[in-house]
Amino acid sequence: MDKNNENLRELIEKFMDPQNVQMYLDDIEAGERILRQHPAPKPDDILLANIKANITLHKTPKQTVTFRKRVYEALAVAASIIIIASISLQSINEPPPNFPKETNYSSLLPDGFWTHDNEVISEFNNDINDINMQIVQVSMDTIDYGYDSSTYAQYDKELQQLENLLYNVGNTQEEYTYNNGIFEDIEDLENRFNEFNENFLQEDYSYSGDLEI
Amino acid sequence: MEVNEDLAQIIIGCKNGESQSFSKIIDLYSSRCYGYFYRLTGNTDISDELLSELFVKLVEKIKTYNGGSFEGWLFRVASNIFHDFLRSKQRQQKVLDIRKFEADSEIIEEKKSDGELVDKLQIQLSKLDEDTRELMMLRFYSELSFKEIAEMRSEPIGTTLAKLHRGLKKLKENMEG
Repeated sequence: MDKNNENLRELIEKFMDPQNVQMYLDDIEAGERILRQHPAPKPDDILLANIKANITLHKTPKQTVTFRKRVYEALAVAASIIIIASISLQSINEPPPNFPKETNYSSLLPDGFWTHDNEVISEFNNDINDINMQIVQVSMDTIDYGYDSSTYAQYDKELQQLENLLYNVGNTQEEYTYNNGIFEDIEDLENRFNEFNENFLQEDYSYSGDLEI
Repeated sequence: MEVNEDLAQIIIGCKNGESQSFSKIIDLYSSRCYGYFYRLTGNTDISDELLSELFVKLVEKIKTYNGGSFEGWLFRVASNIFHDFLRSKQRQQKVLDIRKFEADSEIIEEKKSDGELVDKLQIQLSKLDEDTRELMMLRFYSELSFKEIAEMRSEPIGTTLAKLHRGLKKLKENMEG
């Protein structure tokens, strides 16, 4: 058994080329030796003291961020995006000369990021991506028809906040799954997300280019 | 890896909200987690931030730890935090629209800016692809078994073994070259 509590030779024999076990062992050992010979810096004592102090403050009940609070925050940010988008579409100007002519956008979450088996979270991911696409498209339309870059930056910042909040929900789910626990708030999240989605879809974001300039 | 008795007691203390228990966890794991973040980002300032975030998350989520490998649980949180950082970085790049996001080169530039000495290993690590680099650091700093790492990454153990072997071999060649 090695420090990782396993017999590496057996693993290599079983899962890799049994004829070249020693070569694999030597390569792995040589690589790990290099890592050991080049230790990373240690965290600063002051940093650790600060972290400990922060934790003492953070673990008081008032400052504990609950799952429910995160969802409320996500919905609040989403609502602010909707309001800003509505206001923005009414303020069309000529586009700045140095504004990018074409903007590509894609899923805000990298492929494979949600590769777990939970169907509910996977469905959320799809819904979230759809909504993100729509919100980004709104901001793109606004840009195409004239808006300064700071507005776009604001959009992007808020999108990022929204995405991070929703992603944290996913993380929480993954950790629960990892420990075979039960994610009891998932149903609540689903209901609230569906409610948000319905409200969002009722808004008229399908900008057709017919706005008066 | 099983949780030994001392660690189990510390974790119980954490779940009960005892500051001393959290301090012990920090003392036990801060170096390894910091090394993990540093080798992935190459920047001490960012590593400071990520380490702080990790232990705040620990406080928030310790109640969700329900046994099994504590290192596996902790480094999963660390890995999620690192991915959050990467995504945040990527988003910032997109907003600025200055140039295509390239995490490796960006990271190298950042650490040069604050006058840090870049060790040879960090340079060679930055030449490896992100996934391989993260796998290598996860294995080295978490000290998890291949089985645990493969489970964490949701991939077959043979794939994890092959990737790690390839990465370490490439690193050795680069360091000698």
